[in-house]
Amino acid sequence: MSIVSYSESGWDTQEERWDDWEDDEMNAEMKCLFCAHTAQNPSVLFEHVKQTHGFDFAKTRRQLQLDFYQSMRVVNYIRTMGLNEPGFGTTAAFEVDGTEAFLNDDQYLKPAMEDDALLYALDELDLDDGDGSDHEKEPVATTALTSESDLAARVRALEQQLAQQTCETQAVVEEFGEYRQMVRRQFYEGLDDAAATTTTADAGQTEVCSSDYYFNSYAGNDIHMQMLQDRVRTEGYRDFMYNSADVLRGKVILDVGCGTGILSMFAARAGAARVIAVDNSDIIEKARANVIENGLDGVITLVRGRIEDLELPVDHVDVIVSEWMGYFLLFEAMLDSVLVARDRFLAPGGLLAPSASYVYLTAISDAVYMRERVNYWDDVYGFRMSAMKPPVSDGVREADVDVVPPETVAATRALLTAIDHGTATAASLDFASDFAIEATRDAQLHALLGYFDVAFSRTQDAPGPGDAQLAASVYGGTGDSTHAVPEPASLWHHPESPMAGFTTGPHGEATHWKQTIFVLDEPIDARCGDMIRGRFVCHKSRTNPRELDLEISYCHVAAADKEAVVAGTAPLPAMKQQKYQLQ
Amino acid sequence: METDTSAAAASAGMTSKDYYFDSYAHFGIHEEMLKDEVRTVSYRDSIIKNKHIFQGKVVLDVGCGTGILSMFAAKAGAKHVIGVDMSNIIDKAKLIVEENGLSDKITLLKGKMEEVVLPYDKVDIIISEWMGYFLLYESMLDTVLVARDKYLQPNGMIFPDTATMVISTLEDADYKDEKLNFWNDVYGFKMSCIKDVAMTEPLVDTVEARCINSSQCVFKTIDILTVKKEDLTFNVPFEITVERDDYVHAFISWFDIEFRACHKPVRFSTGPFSKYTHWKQTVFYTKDNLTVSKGDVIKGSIACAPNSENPRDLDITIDYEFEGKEDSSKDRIEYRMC
Repeated sequence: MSIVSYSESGWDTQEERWDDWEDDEMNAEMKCLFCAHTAQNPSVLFEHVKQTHGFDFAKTRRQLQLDFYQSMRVVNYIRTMGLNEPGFGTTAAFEVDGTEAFLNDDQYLKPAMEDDALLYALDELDLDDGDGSDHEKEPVATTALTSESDLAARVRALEQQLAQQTCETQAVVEEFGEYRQMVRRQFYEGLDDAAATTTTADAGQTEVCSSDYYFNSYAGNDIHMQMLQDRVRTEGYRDFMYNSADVLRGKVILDVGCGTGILSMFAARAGAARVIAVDNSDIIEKARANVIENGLDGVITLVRGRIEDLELPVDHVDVIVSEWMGYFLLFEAMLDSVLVARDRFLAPGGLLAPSASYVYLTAISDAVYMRERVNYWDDVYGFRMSAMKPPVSDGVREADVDVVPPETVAATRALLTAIDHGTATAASLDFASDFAIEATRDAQLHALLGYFDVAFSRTQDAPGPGDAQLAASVYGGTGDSTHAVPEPASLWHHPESPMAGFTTGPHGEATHWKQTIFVLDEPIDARCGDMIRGRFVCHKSRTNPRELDLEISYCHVAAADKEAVVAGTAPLPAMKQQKYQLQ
Repeated sequence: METDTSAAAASAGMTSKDYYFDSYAHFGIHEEMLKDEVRTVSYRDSIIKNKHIFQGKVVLDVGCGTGILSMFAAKAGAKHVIGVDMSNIIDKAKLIVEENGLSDKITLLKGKMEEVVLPYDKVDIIISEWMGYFLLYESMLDTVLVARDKYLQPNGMIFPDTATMVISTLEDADYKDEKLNFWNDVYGFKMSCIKDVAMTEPLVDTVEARCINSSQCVFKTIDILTVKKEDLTFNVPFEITVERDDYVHAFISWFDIEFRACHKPVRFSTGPFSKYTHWKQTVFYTKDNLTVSKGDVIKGSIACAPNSENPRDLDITIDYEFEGKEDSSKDRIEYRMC
């Protein structure tokens, strides 16, 4: 598709092009809207356009009271048409009557031509056409009146064709959000400020490149379909926003990592005054189309970029909504970006959705999993393939991500960490936690199992359920292990629960996060009521901060010895240590 | 298909996908392939049950992956097996071959087929599991042809040596609705632009045999011993006869594989009438749903070519014309497997 000169460029190349603009703008030649004619001065150029091609830009602009952005859209629209249809506007004069859809279509804020010096001159032209009083006597349309309906029909047909092509093109990079800002900078704040901004962008550039692979890996349709079809996830956000419409109404909301834009649209429909949706992946173009299709482009502004270095069109936001969670909550470290967004943009007293998150540990007994996944490699059509087992290099095992049948859970659960998104820091996401879980039946425990819950509070002052509620769901089986473990998911689904939220645990409906399985070197032969005590350490990998390094040290305390061990009157059994990575 | 992913990545520059594909997580595909018993047992039978063919022979395993085929060949009495793979999986294969005491029979070489130096000028037999989805998507057949032209003895054998591609039609009201119309109402919002793209993406999935409602037309037969790389870009006609009064929501394609060099030919099908394979079938949704009657004929052509910008992607175009008793339709639909 020819209209998009940026189509193949990434974020960083674009920055470069903006630099180029700045260098070129001062004495650039301005190209005619309809032919190859050029001029140094916009008035001269528009005079040529009027005389040669019969389109009086200055008059049209004044009579229709086109604002700056609409003027810009006219220029970009004509150039776009010319690229698609050579000779556009040369056989029949081009006209604008003020009803054209493109006048309000932000697609045409994007320059159709690289380094279009004429766009810069539109501002200058303001001064020129103010005194054009003689034009006022003229009727609105003096030229080509006979062909008006033909022309309108043609324009409509072309518009339809263009809209269709735009929608079909995957690689369209529109950037109008930043473009608007860039234009503002260029026009209203002068070169110094633009230069300063450029420097900031340059500084961020190396980092951007290294994470390109990550952002682009989110551009495919499949992963978004998978996430949208994860009902627990999507309905969790939707229900919170629709049920908290009183909290969100009239607020400015920032959606960090907006993907297809679904959360932004929930927020808009819940009554937000304005939603700013940020993503650094190509998917944002789909989000833009989705937002327009649903008529929410008046409320939702899409901005492509990294939250760490982009600028928003507002100083503060009231609410940050984001679906940042990874496997075992923290894998791929998206929460860091949300915390950056919070520190940069969230107004004092603002709310994060979700407001808090909780990581839990339990244990499973699952002979089928061990046979089919872990021990499969012992006999592959008569051969041994130990090398294919989840690698244990330097004693580090690969944590596995899979959905575990709830009946394999054979222990109570322990809370490893509770994160208040309002106060957490990037450093606090590395955690070390003591845990104690109890076998709820006689079982060989093959693996420890990790998962997380998230809470959606209506106020960040009370980001999650109270300690008592949490304790009840966490240690429900303690003391009398013959009782069934309470259904932890009920914390979020009880009608009287004060807090919205959802679990990714094995007792809830399966989510795309599944659960995280830490297979033990040696299964634990546990009797009902036995305790597994230990310490769980989780931190970002030093080699790749998107990965996690985990250490679990644990010991097995028989039910009979439990009290004495807890009281400190009997020694702890020998600790075993296991290391894992999630990559 | 394991090698080509990395080989193409190395030549085309690593993309995000490749980053993941070459990580440990991607080894999961090897688990899936090994657990595909139709595939693995067919190879095993064609090799192990033909010891008289393999005895004393020099064998080249193109894209050896975990080394399973090389080990079958060694067990079948091959004098020497050379396994070549571009991907890091070959480091695992080396450990596996060693663990099974076959290091003296099997030599594993990491690299591109074009570049590795084999200890032999010629080999007697090439074995390879090169097939991708729709047979040709991310397939390693190109690499097999390179190996054949460079190393295979005159009168040498290739396992497998024949692949046939089949097209038919499908009744799929429920799933088409679920897959495509999902985007019409996503929790109360429309997402047509994603639907448009979803429409052009062939769907790889298993289909129930009872949903096939017309004859099956072989539109491409590939003789691995003689095929040329350029033959893999093609535009060929097909003609399908409807077998019952029904609706057609999609075209469907699959492939069959034969080892004709065997004493008693071994073959398997990846179609809906056979046991599950990890290749499943490939579904091409049509824009129109056709009301078809028994005896109606659907004529058309199917074109397949590597995408010019990204040769790893496959451009597939289906043209069809249908004049039925109850309905008629004609369309040209362009799909892209990526």
